[in-house]
Amino acid sequence: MTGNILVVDDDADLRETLQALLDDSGYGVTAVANGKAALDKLRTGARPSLILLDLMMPEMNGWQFLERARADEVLDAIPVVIMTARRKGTDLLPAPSRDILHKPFDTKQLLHTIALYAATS
Amino acid sequence: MPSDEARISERVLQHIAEIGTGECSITDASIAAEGDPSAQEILAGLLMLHEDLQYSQERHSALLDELRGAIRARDEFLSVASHELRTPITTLGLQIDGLFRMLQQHVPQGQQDTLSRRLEVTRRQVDRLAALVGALIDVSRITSGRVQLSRQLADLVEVIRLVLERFGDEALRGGSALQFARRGPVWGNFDVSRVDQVFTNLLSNAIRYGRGKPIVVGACSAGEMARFWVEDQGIGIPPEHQGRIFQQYERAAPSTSYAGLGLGLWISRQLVEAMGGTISVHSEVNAGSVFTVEIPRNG
Repeated sequence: MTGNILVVDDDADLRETLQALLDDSGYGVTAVANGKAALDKLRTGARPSLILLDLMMPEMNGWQFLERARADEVLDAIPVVIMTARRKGTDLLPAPSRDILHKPFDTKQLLHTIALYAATS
Repeated sequence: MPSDEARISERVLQHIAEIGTGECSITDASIAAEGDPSAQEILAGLLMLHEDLQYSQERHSALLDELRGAIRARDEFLSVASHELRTPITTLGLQIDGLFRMLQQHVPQGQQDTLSRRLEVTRRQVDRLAALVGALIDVSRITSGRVQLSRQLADLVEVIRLVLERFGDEALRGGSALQFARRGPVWGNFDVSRVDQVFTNLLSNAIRYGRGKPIVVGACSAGEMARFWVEDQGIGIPPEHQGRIFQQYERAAPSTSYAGLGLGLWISRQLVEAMGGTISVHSEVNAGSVFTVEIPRNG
């Protein structure tokens, strides 16, 4: 299984940073700016092995995205790692395939968490 | 001698007395005092005082509401702002990691040193920024009563050892040798990240105020409690300041000479107390300070 990661974050710099870093680490990366764009991408593109999700985003935020994903059997099966500055967020983890990265996280923590769900190509 | 007209009847006096106890209203007393100009005059004065008082009370409660609103707005702003700052700090940190990686991969060995040193400085500053933002977030959590502990079985000695490892370089730069007097392991149910945070705060204070002198830290069991301490040989704290260093925004050292928000020890005390423990200081000016923390092992 090759690791394709869908990065969903409205912060363009963080999106670009994550894309470069994950790309360097051997993952295939697609990045979009909000939950709505992520749903569009998931409907048309290939299924990623992991979604890296920000919470606070315009148009469709992370909570709304998770709600939509939960209602769709195929989408619900994709592991999601939530990136958040909140310390607690366990209410967002109904499934075992959901994880949390607390901001600020470093490269080591990021790669460690991602490796639990996606293999490098 | 008062004239007959100026005398107030016993009945009206009784009413006036009852105004004070709340048994009679000023209006009722005025009705009872119909045709008694002296009593009317006194009651008019009372009415004015009463209205002034009522106005003051209303004003007072409006100000109180305003103040509570302002504090709430401040706390909310603090919470939103400090959380908001975490995203750029994340991006900065990841970029620095990436630059390190590029440096190692693409720059010839002989030219790596200077760049590497400058990147290290940048990373240290980002770490510092992250720690300051972390302190602000803690303040907002503590003041709104949102401190949550998550305990797990852990060895206190190991928690401290990891912090010492992390602080090795910083202590070295400050010219302080670190010595660990351990009697362990010290097993218990601890909130590891909070214990780490409190110890980190005490150690970084020791490095800051005990520059150039050795620092001794220790950990042991004391019955039901786990104890750890940090001892420096720094500037020390005068007795008159020892009581207030654990208070919010208070610092014994002059802010013109030492950086910091004055929040570290306050946060430490709040966290230690949330864990059901105590924090204390023993200090002598120009001889140094010992900070001791005791927390229940089965909290």
